[in-house]
Parts: sequence; structure tokens; C-alpha cells
Amino acid sequence: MNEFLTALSEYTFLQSALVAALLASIGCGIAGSYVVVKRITFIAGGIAHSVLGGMGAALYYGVDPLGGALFAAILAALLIGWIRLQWNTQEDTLIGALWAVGMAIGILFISKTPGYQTDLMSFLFGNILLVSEKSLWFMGGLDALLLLAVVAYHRQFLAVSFDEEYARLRGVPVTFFYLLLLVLVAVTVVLLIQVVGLILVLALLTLPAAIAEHYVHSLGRMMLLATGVGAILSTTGVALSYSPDLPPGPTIILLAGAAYLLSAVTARALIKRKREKAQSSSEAP
Amino acid sequence: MTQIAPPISLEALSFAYSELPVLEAIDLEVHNGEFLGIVGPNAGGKSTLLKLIMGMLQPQQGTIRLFGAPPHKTRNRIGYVPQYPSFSRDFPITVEQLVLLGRLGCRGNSSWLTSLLPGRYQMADYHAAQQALQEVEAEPLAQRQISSLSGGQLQRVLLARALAGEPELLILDEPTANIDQRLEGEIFELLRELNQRLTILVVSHDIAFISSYVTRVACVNRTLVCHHTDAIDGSLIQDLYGEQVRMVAHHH
Repeated sequence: MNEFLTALSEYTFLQSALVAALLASIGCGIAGSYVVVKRITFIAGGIAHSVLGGMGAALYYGVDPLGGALFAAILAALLIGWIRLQWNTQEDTLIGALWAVGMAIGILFISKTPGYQTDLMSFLFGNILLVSEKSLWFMGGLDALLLLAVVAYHRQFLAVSFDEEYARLRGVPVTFFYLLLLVLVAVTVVLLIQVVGLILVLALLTLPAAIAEHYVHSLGRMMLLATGVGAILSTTGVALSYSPDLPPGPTIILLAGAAYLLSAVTARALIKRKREKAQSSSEAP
Repeated sequence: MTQIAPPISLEALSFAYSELPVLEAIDLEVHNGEFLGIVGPNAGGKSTLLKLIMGMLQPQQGTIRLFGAPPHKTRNRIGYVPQYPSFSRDFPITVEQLVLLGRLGCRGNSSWLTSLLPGRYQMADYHAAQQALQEVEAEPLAQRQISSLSGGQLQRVLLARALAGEPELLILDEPTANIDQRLEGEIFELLRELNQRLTILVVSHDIAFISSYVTRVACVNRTLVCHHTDAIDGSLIQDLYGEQVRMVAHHH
């Protein structure tokens, strides 16, 4: 750990990596909480994986891959949202198809792009140590967008994630806000791709929020706590991976998985103790 | 003074799920201040009728007017209590937040523009939510997590959500199906009080029980027939359900 701290003061790439981790955790706190409470992990997975299509195309045509990723993510989000609203019954089949088709398109583009193929690995598994200053600004901009949308429309997003039928009855444009919510998820996916790559995105998107859900009982608090948990997990992951020279993305994900498991066991024990306490106090005269 | 449009007015309404006719030629006018019970056998079309009235389904034939306008324009004047909550019980939300969601769409008319208003709840919203919780005697539950509520408590909270929107018409779908009989009486006593200022429409399978509370009963079994409560007796119930039904007579 000490080795990491001295390196951190020397190398700007490590400092950038930590800033990127913190910026990403804001996204995973906000959008991740919606994904967890609305149980749309599969939809988020579909969006994340079909992003490769956009990144591959951007690479082939020589445009910034992050821009391509953002475009593809938003397109995938709208397409998947539309599928869910129109063909509710075949939702999972269609999303699964889109998931694979997006990736196939991406791989074809990348294979036809001249030059090194190393980019593919960093798309799939992320490389937080190579985040440029420009990318940091891009990530900051996406965070600002997310925060703005949630501050403005937290009531409508809560209504749509909690009870669509009642929201519709109250005149909330459910379709609009559902699609907007998926676009926020898409934006977050692009944020997280920098850190862990698009294969591992799903874990970082859902695990911090799922951990937070064990301890708090409102969506707002869940977002705050999930952001904190995400920040701790991703910075610790970067630090732990430094000395043994491990890839940071998978290290962060393993850490998140372990933390979730630990938290689930602890939360269950806490509930059990609480129940026993309540029982013994009600039995006492 | 112009005549005020009735809360609900249905004319020659028919509805079918693909080929299967569910409702045929329904005529119904619900007057201001009425307490209407809707009864009928399972799968007789009661829930479908409610969905049509609230604009969640479109009829193949006939017209629906809610306060004199198409349902989607005026449905924010309804307070609705569903039979099965369409949300998951372990959602991280407190009772107060749930009731506040009933305040959405209260500002002005329900146009697209007002539904896109950003921002947070106003003092008036918190006040209305608190008052609604008081009215159903669930105020001490305000900060509780919904997963910790009993069936009867949840039912009261859902009623509070409906009341928070300051409705003129209250629609309840089997409000007492999931709670015990003592609570059933309490809920209906509460509805009787609310009926002094609201029009109420309640769906129930228990015709004998509700006929002591409602002013008129509509029997739905693909078609709709209305009866005043005094006219309900064994032969009517037998006609409706198609078999001998044990009925407890109640004279008041």
C-alpha cells in the first residue's frame, strides 16, 4: 500500500485513475440505484454490451470511441425501452438478441480496422490507468448531466420505478420518463466503461447499490451510500492492483463481489438479531 | 348555472380482449355524491370496467366520459385503490414518500407541459399527504418502511395515497380482499364518512356485506344491471351468480 501512495504522488496517470474512479462512482450510485430497485439489470446488461457496436464503428471511421460509445448506448437504450413497451412478452429474447448483435457488429468493425487490436481488450475490460485528461472532462460532463436530470425529476423517476400504473393514472408521462431513465443508465454505462470495460460494467453498476440497499430505506439515501461504496471499492481496487501489477478492472470487480457477499451475510445476521430482540422484548412483561 | 357533468358516464360501451367479449352494451351514469357498489362473479368484467373508466384500456365501441371529458384528460381527479398493489413490497420507500406520489399531477390541469414540471414537493404537498394519513388513521406509520406494514396497514396507506391527490371520485377495487373481517368493517365505515364529500365506486365480491353501505349496486357479468340496495334479495343474487348462494339477511 505504501508503494502505491508514493507512486500516487509521483505519477499523474495514477492520479487521473483515482479521479476517474471517483467520477464513475457518482454514476454507479445514481443510475445503479434505479437499476437495482426497478430490477432492470438485464436491460442494463443489454445496453452495456451493445455499446461495443458503436465503439467499433467509431474506431473504424476514426472518430473518438467514447463519442461512439455514448451514441450507441443511447440508441440501444431507446431501442430496448421501445421493445419492452411494445413487445412485453418477448422482452428477454429480444434484449438478448440485441446484446449479442451489438457485440458482433463491434467485433466485425474492429477486425476490419487496420492497426493494433489492443483497443479491443481495453474496451472489454477497461483500463483505468490509461484515462486521458480529455476523458476525465468528458466523464465530469456526463456526471453533471446525470445529477441535473435526477435533481429535476427525482419525483417522476421515483413514481415510474415504484409503480408505473399509478404514475400513469396521475398523469406522469410514463413512457417518456422510462426512456429517459434508460438513457441515464446508458450514460452511466459509458462512464463506467473507462474504469472496468463493458463486460464488467454490470457488476459495478449494480453491486454498490445492492450493498447500499441492505442498510437504507429510501432511494435518495441509497444513491448517496452507493456512491460512497462505489468510490471506496474502485479506489481500493486501483490501489490493491498496483504493487502486484494486476489489471485494475477485474480487481475492482472481485473486490465488489466480495464486499457484496460480506454485506449480504451481515445484513441477514443484523435482521435476525433485530427480530430476536423485538421478540424477547415483547415477551418480557 | 350550467349543469355539472356527472363523475362517470358510460354509453353503449363494449370491450373484448382480442376475440373474447368481456363487456357488452354497458350504460351507466354515476351521480355526484353516490356510493356505488359493483359486484359480479370472478372474470365477469369488473376489473376491465375499472380499467376502461380510468383510461387504461380503450373501448372498441361506445363512449366513456369522466367528468364530461375523455378519461385520460380528467383521470387526475380520481383517487384509485388497487386490489393488488402493482409494486414490490421491498422497494426502499417510506409510507410518507408513497403517499406523496399521490400528489403528482395535482398542479393545474393534466397537460403535457405541467407533467414535465421539474422540482420538488411543495409545502402544500406535504400538508395534503399528512392530512390524508390522518384521515385513514395511519399517521404514526409515516416514517415506516412499506415492507414492515401489515396487510391492513398497507390498505390504509394506499387509501391515503388516493386521498392525497384531493380526488372528487374514489375508486376501490376489492379494498378488503386481503384483510380480516374486523378491518373490513372499519374500512367501510371510513368510506361512509368519506362519501359525505366524495363520490365513491367500490368493486366487491361480497354483495351481502356492501349492500348495507352503498346506495346503489351495479351487477356486472358481461352486461350491467343496476339495482337499488333495497331490491337486493336471494333471487337476485342467484340470478347473478347462477347458483344457490348462502346469504345473511341484514335489516337496519
